[in-house]
Amino acid sequence: MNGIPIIFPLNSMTEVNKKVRFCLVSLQPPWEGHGKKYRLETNHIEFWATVMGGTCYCGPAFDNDFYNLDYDYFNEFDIVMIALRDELIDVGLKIKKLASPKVVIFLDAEIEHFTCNMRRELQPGMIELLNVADAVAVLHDETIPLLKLLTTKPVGLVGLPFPLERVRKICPPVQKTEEIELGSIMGASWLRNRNGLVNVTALSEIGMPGTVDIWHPVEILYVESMREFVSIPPIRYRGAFGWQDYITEANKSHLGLHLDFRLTWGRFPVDCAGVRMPCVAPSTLYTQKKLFPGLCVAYYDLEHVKELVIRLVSESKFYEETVAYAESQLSFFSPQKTRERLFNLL
Amino acid sequence: MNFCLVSLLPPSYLDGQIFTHEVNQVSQWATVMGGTHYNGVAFDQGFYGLPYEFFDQFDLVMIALRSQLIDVGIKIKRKSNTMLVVFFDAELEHYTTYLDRELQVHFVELLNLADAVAVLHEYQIPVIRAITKKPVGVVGLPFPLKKVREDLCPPVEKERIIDLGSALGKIWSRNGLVNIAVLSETGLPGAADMQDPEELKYLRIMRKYMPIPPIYFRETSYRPFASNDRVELWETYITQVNRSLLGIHLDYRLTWGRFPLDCAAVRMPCVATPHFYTQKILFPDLCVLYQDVDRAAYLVKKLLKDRVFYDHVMSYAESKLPYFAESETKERLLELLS
Repeated sequence: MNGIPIIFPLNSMTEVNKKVRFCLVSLQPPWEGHGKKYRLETNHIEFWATVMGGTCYCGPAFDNDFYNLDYDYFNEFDIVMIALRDELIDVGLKIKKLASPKVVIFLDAEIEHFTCNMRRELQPGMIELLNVADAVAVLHDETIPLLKLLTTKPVGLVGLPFPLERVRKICPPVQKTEEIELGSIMGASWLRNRNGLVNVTALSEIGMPGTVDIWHPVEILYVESMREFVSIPPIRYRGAFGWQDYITEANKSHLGLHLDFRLTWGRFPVDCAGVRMPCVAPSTLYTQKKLFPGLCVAYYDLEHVKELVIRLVSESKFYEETVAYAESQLSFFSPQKTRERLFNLL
Repeated sequence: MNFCLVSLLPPSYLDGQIFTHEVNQVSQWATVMGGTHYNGVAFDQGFYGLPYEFFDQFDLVMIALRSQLIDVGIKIKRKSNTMLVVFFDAELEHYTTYLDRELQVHFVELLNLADAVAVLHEYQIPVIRAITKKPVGVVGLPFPLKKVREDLCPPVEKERIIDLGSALGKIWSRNGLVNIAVLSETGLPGAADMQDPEELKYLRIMRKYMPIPPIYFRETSYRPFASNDRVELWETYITQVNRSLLGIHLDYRLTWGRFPLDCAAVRMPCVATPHFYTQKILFPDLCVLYQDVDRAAYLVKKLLKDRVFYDHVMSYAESKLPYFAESETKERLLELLS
């Protein structure tokens, strides 16, 4: 989905937070909204700033004086949330050392990124940051025991708030098309390619048409050139202009499929539940585990994937029961409940 | 059978000669097949001064597949008449996620041009079978068990040390931080291969915040790209692993897993994930999800205090070791090609 933000009016929820001065520090590139009160409502890390009635800064840009602000500027905030990636470890340490807000570390990538793919010279800094911060928010309950071995600070599952109210306004119930929405295909780089080849492969085993939001038209070329060797069903490629466009289009699909291997949050299953469609994915995505326990599958188990998809397509009762269960769990992802989890952690 | 392995192992004076050295590395394929080896990238760049038609003289070429060798594999198949088996030399995620997308297209092409595809874990088979019509099967790495048992690693009095399958690594590690976290939970000293002395510095910084027990670093993989002494380095490594009481490797990758096999060969149990095929076969009772550090620590403590349990898991692993023998592994390769 395209990262261009869509601005919506503040809803009443942010009024509750007016006494908590909140700042999100992330890797999102600087734009005119930084430093201002956030109003974005998307299924994205920056939604934290909106639900807390706060603002956002790009960490590396802040560190490079792009905003002409000193680190003691963060004294203006009660809570600073660091959306942790490699580039923000030193920024987080500086905030904690040079200012006095409460700092919560929000792990903003799969756990394997921090334990394996992160360059080892950054890992000691990460351990230090996890221990000087005030709390650590993880993306999957199964990562809590590990994080508790790495820090003495409170660790808990918080997750991303999901703008359900907004989604339900822009995505009314529609007649679903017989297409499978893929969570990823051949992304513009490996950073964007989240096991997309397995999604394409699964689609070819299932034999149903697919649809996917692409980042760049060249992705089409790469998938199409595989047709010489693999019998890939028709795929309708979309290039969403912003998240609203993406979710509105996703609403038309019959079900979602995302065979990612990472142990992480998983924005895609909650998107699917938001637009009232089931999702087949591994339980290593926390949202999948919570919303669609009957559709959890190992990412490599294509036979089980096919069986589940066929059942969803052929048994309307199974489809409806699955969606109804997800619906009953959706309130867990609401801004209010997610914010409560953050406050409980702190 | 004239056999040639094409891999990313550094070029050495051994390339082009009949391989005889025995190590738990991909080069063992050249040894068990009585064949030779070339570095694929060096071959492509003319380092050996040989054209691709040179591969006509082999009955079978095995390409130990990494991203750099995908195009080399395609050239071998297009420019020579040899039979080509693609041997996955990395975890499945490497090919399905971390590979550059242009290379992914070539990867799919190569799997369809080749004569067979040897994967490292049975769980990989459904995905790869959906990509290629060619035969796909688990073959694995042949393990020099006889040499380890008869030459290098006699039974010894084990020390109360936990061997780590990976620590902090040279650039990045194989989930080494999770291994270190579990070691902290057990409180027992550890041992690990050191890829460079910087690892000690990083460990010292972490000790300010985590109760990491002493870790004895071996310098056996300190020079991983020094091809001339890789045999000696591996022999030193396995000899030293032999002294440990048990192994831990909480890696997340879906792959073969050389470490559990090293452990079984030197008669010690290993706690690791079933995403290592070797672990799944050898130590089913010690399989644990890599993120389930509580269970991993529990299993380690149980092994330490329950001698019957320790002996039971070792007896089971011993009964499964023939699967990894050179002759059986070779048979699996020949069956895949038949």
